[in-house]
Amino acid sequence: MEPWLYLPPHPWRDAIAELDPGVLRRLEEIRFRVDVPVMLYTDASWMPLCYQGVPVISGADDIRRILSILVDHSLYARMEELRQGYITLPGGHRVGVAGRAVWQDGRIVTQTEITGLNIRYAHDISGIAASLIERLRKWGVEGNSWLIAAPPRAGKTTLLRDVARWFSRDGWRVVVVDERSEIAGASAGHRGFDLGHHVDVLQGWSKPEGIITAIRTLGPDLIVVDELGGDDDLAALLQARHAGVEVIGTLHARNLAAERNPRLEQLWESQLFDAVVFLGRNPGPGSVRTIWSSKGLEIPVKKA
Amino acid sequence: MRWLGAFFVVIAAVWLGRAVARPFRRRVQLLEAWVKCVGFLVPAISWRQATLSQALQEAAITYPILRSQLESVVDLLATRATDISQAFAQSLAGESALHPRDREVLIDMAAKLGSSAPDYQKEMLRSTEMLLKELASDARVEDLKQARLLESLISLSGVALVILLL
Repeated sequence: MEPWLYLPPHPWRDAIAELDPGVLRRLEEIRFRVDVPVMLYTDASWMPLCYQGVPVISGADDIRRILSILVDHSLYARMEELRQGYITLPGGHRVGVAGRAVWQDGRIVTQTEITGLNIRYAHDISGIAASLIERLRKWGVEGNSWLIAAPPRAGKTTLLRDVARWFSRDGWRVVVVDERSEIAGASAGHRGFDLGHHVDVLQGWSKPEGIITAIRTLGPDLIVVDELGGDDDLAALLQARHAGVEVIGTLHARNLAAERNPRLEQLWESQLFDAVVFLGRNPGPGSVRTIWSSKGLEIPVKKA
Repeated sequence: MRWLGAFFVVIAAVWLGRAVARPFRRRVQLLEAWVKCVGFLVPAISWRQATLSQALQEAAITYPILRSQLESVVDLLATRATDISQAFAQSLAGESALHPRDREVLIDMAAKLGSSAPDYQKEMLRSTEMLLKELASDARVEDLKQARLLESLISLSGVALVILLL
């Protein structure tokens, strides 16, 4: 069943159920913002959510209620996620939360006065990693440490999940450091996505701690990690590579110009990765735009 | 035959006395169970951070007298169509032994349950526990006195009736 038909409470669920099945299938996001119509976003367009022909408007109380129901009335258990601005739902679906930051001792401890929610559908597409891996091997990329770089909503996590599954099915011992519970979609101790039989998931661990723990205790052949870029990530990644463990990670990067992206430049210069795969949103999320090899060569990718 | 009739009249009077006093005794039992249940929720929520449904389910197993009410709350929450205070109000509505003030305290707790950081939840649960303890303590004095009085009066009425008839 589509998550839209069970995640939001009534009456929003009823309004979504009224949608054309074609629209429902292509739906990527629902955004609730205080006192404005609820908006639906597909891969190519947007539209207001209507119930019996009338746009649905959500107030502050509605947003509070929706959030409470989405987290099973257990916000106390989601404080760290809320502090970071998101909540992960069973199945890996993510809710972005916009509110007023509450500061304590010089750091944000939580959010209050929530004014916006963005429910985002976590896609699980099987088979996309195989074509990428085949392409990398065909072009002579040595090693299996890759960085997947792309702007938001370009399919990084979907590709990363399938890459983890591909290696797991190939018999590699894979550890997924899943800080935001998006890759494995784990909830209440159960995985939301099938990742094969050779994957261990470190759920909720920070990336540096998770990587170090994985090396010390889980004996991985490959570590898979999402959204690199933190100050301590590089040191942990270096430790993994020095320990002979392959690493595949993702990074937010809008364009190919490394000099305009200090994080990418730093990761590239550290020679941690054998290849950088750039994704784009055209013709659709997950489209491979360019691949750099470890020798610094830019490999043009044939247009689909 | 007459003595047998007298015996049954006394037994019926005692049974009636107990039946009339039952809601008063039940209120005390329920409030005492709620005090323990709220105490049980403190570590489940503030330390273990179990989801509210999990914590309530565990409490339902631990405190059988609250089982039907807690399970009904969990079932209502699972529909994702109601908020916690509504769920509590609905499940407590079927419990006639509780006084309006008891319900008010529990529904007020439910309105805040799950909606803030663990430390605030702990504080809120502790203050609810204190309120419930006060209500239970009053109930132990007032309601049990009332229950004993009713039981005695009705049983004695039975005995008096037997004496008159004999």
